[in-house]
Amino acid sequence: MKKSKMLLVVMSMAMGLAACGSVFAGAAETEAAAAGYSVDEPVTLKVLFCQGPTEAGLEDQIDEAVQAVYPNISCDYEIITWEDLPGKLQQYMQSGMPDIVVAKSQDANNFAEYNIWADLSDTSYIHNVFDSALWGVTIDDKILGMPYIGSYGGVYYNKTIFSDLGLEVPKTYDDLEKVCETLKENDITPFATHYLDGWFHGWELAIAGGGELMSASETWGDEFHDGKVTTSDEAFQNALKAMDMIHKYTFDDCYSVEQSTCDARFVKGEAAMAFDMSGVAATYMELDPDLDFGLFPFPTSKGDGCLNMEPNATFFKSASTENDEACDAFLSVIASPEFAGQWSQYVGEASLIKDADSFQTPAQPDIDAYSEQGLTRDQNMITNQLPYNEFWDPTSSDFTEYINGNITLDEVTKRAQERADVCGTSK
Amino acid sequence: MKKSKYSSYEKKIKRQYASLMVPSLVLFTLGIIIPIIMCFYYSLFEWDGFSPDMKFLGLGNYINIFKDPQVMMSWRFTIFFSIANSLTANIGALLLATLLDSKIKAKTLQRTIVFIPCLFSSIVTGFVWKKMYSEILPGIVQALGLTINLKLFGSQSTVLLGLTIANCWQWTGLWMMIYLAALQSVPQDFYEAAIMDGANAFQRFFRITIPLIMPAIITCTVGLTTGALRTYDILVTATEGGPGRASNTIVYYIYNIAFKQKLYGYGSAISITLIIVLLIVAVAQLMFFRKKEVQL
Repeated sequence: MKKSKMLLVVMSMAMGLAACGSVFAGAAETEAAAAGYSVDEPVTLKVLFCQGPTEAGLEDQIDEAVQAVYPNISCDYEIITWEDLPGKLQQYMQSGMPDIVVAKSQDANNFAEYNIWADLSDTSYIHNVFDSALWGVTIDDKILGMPYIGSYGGVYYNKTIFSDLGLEVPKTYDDLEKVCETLKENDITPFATHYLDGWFHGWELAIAGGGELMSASETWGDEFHDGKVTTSDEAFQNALKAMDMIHKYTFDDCYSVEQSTCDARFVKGEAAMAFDMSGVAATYMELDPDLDFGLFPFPTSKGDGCLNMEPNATFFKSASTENDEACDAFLSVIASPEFAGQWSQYVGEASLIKDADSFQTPAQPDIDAYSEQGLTRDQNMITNQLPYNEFWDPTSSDFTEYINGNITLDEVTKRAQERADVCGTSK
Repeated sequence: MKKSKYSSYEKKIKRQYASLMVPSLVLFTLGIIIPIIMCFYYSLFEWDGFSPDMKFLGLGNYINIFKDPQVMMSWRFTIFFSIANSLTANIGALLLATLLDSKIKAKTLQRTIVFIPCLFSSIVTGFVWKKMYSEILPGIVQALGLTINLKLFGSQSTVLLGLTIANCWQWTGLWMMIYLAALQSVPQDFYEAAIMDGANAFQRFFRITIPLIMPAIITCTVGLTTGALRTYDILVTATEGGPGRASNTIVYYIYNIAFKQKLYGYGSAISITLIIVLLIVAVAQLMFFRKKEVQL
């Protein structure tokens, strides 16, 4: 009797342990079963992974999740920064593409003409992605990538400071100027910025300036390429004025400061606003869990600013992969709400997968409100027409030369005009 | 009948020597010569580096170099950076080598400390000094109640100084080792004779040491100059060519043009001009310093 009872206990324990197993096994297995992929032979997928600072270590979690469902799939990762992607792709286009590339959604358009991305339209897992996020990766009716994380860019503001000074969220440049002057009168620097990080200036110009251009016309980039609008027009000049305003109302040492100092200044209340991407929200919460902050779109001349939504981490399958089934199996696990939720919590940004446990910040109510009003814009709307590397980055460098007194604003305008050929979605 | 200059034995020895050089010649050809030829070929085309379409431009890319103000700006910074680095690191390495060759305590430890930074990757050096200038040094200055601006990467007027300090910190140790080896090869008899003739320390240094270590000076000067002319990796993490384009070296500009702006042909053309400049500089330095060499 004793022995049979013991056996029952041991069997129960064994069943319990098996049930606890991997967190993802159960749900992802369900997902995989629905997807209908089978990977019977061992296969190693080559994954080119553009990682930001918050994504370090995710490859281990991917391996755990994928192998829980598809034990025959292993991954060989090459980790790079996004800035190195063009050079790497150039190399791999000659020597053989990796099976999977994790990059940004704008790379769907950036590299569409070279036919290196597989069409994911007919896969089952692509429909796990919010429909609104698929717009930027759909080129010629083909869905070329799977957007995964949404990074909301705008002006993060200290709600306590705004409330204490009776400030309202600005919508136009005049409103913003009044807010900035009030802050300065109260010895608070309006904007915290970090131009020591080279990418930041170009991003800021793309979002603030690009927002002004989209406010003038949602096809401004195409019209620019076709010669219908120029950089001397009011819209682009307003875009430059937006940048001027940020420089006027930020710290004197803004070009000596990197992200960590910028975040600290905002959290400590030395600055009331920080124009940045949503990756900073997790840092703010870590530095001060009680910090009450919100998010608003960078103003425009017409007062119709939209929150910028950049589908950030985006998965691409190589059009020339020899492991098609394995790649789809891999992506089906990635696209499961359970794993997407874990990724979102780990990097501290919003998930673009339906039903995922998306990371929440104090700014989430603002994001939801702007979304409901239709005041969010997919960043690809800007960068598909005016590419970051070929237009915004060099233009922001020109603007810095203007700030340093090396060239005039007219010269900035003229140089930007010379880049018309590289702009437009159908260049 | 005219006799051959070399005997058959000497010819055999020469053939053996030549065969030993074949592997390195093969590697040199594959790794250096062929890429240079390919680079020149690409420089004659308008090509984005990705697509199979290449439009022949002839010397069009080379003409554009002279019209591009950013090429001149990048060259200007590169030349200033090269002069500043090669002078500072060269003099610093020689002085350190002289000091660490003298009778001081813990010589080995001090040599090791000076040498260690050159084991770091330049990418890491860039990260380290970016943090130093943006947070650590300003924090120390603030704690001491001073008002010195040490945020050297944040201004176009100080970024050259900041990068020179970072670069010299990394590489001085390496060149110091070359000077140390050279100093230790100078026979002491010369110094003893000079002392007997009444020469002071400065006279012994400039009249004996410098001429006799001239091969090392040539090596270090050429190495430092050409290395500084090719600076790229420290910029990737330190300043990214900024603020704006204030610290854009010619190699960094080539990278941006070729890989970010997808002007592969134009970038190749600038690369060819860089190769020519490097060759001219190296040959000129070798010719100048060869005359100053003293054979023992």
